[in-house]
Amino acid sequence: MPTGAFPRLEPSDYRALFEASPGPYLVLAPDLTIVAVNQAYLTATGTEREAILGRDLFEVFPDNPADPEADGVRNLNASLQRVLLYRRPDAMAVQKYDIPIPGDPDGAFEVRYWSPVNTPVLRADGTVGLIIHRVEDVTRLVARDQRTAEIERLAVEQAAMIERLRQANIELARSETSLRASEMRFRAAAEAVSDILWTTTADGRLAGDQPSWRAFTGQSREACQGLGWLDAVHPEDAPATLSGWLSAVDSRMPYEGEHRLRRRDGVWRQFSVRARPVIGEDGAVREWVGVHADITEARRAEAQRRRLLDELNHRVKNSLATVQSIAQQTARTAPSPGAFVADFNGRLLALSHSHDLLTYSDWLGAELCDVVGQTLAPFSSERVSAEGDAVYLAPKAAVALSMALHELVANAAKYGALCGPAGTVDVTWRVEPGDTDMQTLAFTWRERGGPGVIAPSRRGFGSRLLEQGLPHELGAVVSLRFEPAGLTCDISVPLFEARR
Amino acid sequence: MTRSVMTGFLGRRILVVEDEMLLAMMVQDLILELGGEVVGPAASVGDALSLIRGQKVDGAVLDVNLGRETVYPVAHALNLAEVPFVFVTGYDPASLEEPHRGHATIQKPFSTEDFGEALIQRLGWG
Repeated sequence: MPTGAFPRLEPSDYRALFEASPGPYLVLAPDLTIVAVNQAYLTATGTEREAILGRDLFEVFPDNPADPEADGVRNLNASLQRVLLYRRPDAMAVQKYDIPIPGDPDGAFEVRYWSPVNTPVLRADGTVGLIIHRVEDVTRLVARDQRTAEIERLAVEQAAMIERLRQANIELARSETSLRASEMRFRAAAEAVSDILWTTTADGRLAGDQPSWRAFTGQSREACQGLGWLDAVHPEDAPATLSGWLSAVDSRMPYEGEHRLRRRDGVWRQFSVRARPVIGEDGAVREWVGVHADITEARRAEAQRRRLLDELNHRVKNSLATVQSIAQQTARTAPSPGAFVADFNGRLLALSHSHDLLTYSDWLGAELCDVVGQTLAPFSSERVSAEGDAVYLAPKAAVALSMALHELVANAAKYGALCGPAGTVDVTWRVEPGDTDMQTLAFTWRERGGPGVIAPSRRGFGSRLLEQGLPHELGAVVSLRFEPAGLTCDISVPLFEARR
Repeated sequence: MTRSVMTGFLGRRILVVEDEMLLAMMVQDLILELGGEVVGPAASVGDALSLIRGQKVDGAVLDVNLGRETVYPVAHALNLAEVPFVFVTGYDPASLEEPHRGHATIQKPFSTEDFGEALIQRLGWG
């Protein structure tokens, strides 16, 4: 450029300058019709001068109908109205203002970002004569900003991811610690409870130290390794245990079983066994965890309960059968239904009272004097007397003698010494001396002062019980003597039998 | 009581082993009513074994629980002599000891008719 005087600009030069300006300019009348446009603007917007001059700005550049969020028209109009009102330049925020693609047959729009400044050109009277609308296509800048934003977003995400990884690392470290803690808890629990806790490898072999197994069985650490633990299982239970265990390991199904284990002192104890595979996240069995629970006492208690139930059932059934027998035999000899009921009730009560007596001693037995006293209780001591040595009878003997005495009392009350006003009965007994196994109970029932008795022509239940029942059940020797003064009954019982 | 029960029992000698005197008396009566003859009753294994040794027996009614002992040795002896028998028990029949589990059993208490029918049927005299 030559130095010295500046060239003088002619008015026509201003048009050329405007036309050549690299910035895109549009000149609007106050009614927003387009009055001038430079080449840069035409180039930027892809429009032809003839097509836009003299037309309404928004008719030429409407909103992109495909963009429901387009607000370019509204924002630009607002800015232009501010320029008209305040007569000051108005710089707009970067606008997304899509442009129709020239020559596109579908009338499609192109995404564009613009940085517009609207500047008023004032007349001499201060009113707005023209508005210079200068825009700059910042689509590339915005795109770069968007890329920057994307990069920033990625950076933030990356930071978050790093933070998550860091947290995950901390978690991992923590879970490793807690895994160690849980292993320690497992060991502590294994030592604390009476159950035996153990672990095996994935293929069902005992491996490593198994303290609670060692403590119970006394097997050494080496001895129980692999399948060595089977040596502590009862030989009769070992084959079934082994096949059950191996098939559980094969099928990866929980194992449940029972077997006897030899305690370190050599005593066999009954155990229930449960084991579960520990499955890793990859679906493979990592190891097996098992528990042996000692059920010896539970089994014993169960067997005891069953024995008691069986015994109870047996006694109830026997009692019912006894009652049935009494009923049938009473019916056989009863002269009338009324007599049957009276005799049957009397016998049933005798049986029931003897059971009461035995219940006091938990069915260990009863004193003979209590048996006698109970049977004679309805009568005054002026009519009956009872005296004898202390003799403790086993339950069976107590019931049998009780029933027999009842028959003697009932007979005396009906036909013998106790039916009239004056008769008496003396009951005496003593233990005949001898070796303990040979002792005999000599028992005598003697009636006096009753109506003269004669031996009954027909043997009833009472005499049968005395003459057949007592010999059968107690090995007793019984003699019934119907003497003129009254009935006398001698019963001799081997105490060896009566005490058992 | 049916005629077949009566004729089936005629002249049969039946061992009764029962330690409870009242039950023994009832079983004794039932067998007599049915037309049979009673051997015993025995209250213990020892008594029952000596009765078997001394005489002919066609069948037997055995109470399982004899107080301090069980009747199984008698059952064993009867099996050897090929004498049919039934158990009488208040226990669950499943609690019979091997090899007698599943053997013919009459449950206490029983009716006269049931006792006769069961005996005829299970002793194979029907």
